[in-house]
Amino acid sequence: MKDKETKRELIDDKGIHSHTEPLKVNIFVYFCRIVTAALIGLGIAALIVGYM
Amino acid sequence: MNETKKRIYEVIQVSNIGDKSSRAYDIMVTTAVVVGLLPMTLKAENQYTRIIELFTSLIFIIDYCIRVYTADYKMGYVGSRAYFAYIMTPLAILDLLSIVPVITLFLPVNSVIRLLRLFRFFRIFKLVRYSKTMIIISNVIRKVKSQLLAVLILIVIYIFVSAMLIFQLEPDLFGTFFDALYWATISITTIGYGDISPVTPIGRMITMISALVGMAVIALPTGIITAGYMNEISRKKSKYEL
Repeated sequence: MKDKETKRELIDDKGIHSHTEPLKVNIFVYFCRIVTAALIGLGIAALIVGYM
Repeated sequence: MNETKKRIYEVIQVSNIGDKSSRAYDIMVTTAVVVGLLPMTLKAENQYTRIIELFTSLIFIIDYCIRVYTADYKMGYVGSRAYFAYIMTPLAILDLLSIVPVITLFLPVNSVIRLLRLFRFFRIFKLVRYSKTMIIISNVIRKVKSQLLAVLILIVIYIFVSAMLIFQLEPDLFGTFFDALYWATISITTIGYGDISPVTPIGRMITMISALVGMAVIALPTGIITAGYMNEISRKKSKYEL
């Protein structure tokens, strides 16, 4: 458990997230995931309507 | 401000291990490319394809603007020179061309609009950025472009010579010189549809020579790219070992 925490600290210290707030990072990641999911949904819907 | 700009640049580049934001962005753009190409697999448009076109184009426009904004990090220059140098790079031109089809949504359909819609095909090149293998292949093609160009010139010369010969020897078979060029290309690539086939012995002899030369010449670019790819891989391997 401690190792895991140390590892996480190391990533946070050395990682590329250091310039941005963790909350902002999370919002951006979730935004991208929602857009990706919406795109996949639209793609499937277009294929279903197009081929049915 | 520069730190924020640098971070934006890092996010739009290929993600490094542990960089969640960049990875999420890469996946989003890759999905937009794949989904944006789906309408090209359908015969007719539907309400969803219009939404897809708008949605994906919006993503590509924002992506293009961000890439231009962070061009100084990419190009290594400062100021307007970096922006100008960036927009003239092949990938930036392809990015811009891939955005063009969005205007077709707001204009009445005609042959020009249909042609502009085909520009969606350029979106596939966006994927080159996100695949390490594709980056290696594009580097290899850049390195061996002079050899490839030499082979291409050789092929074109041979096609023209055999087309001219067959056009003169079998005037009844070919209506136009374009038909002869078509026959020469189909013969040299050993595809041989058989829709146009020579009937005189001399014409058949030229066809046989074309087929034999085709086997040798068409295999050359494959060999050149494969050799370059293997060299690049071994160079990368030795670099990591050092």
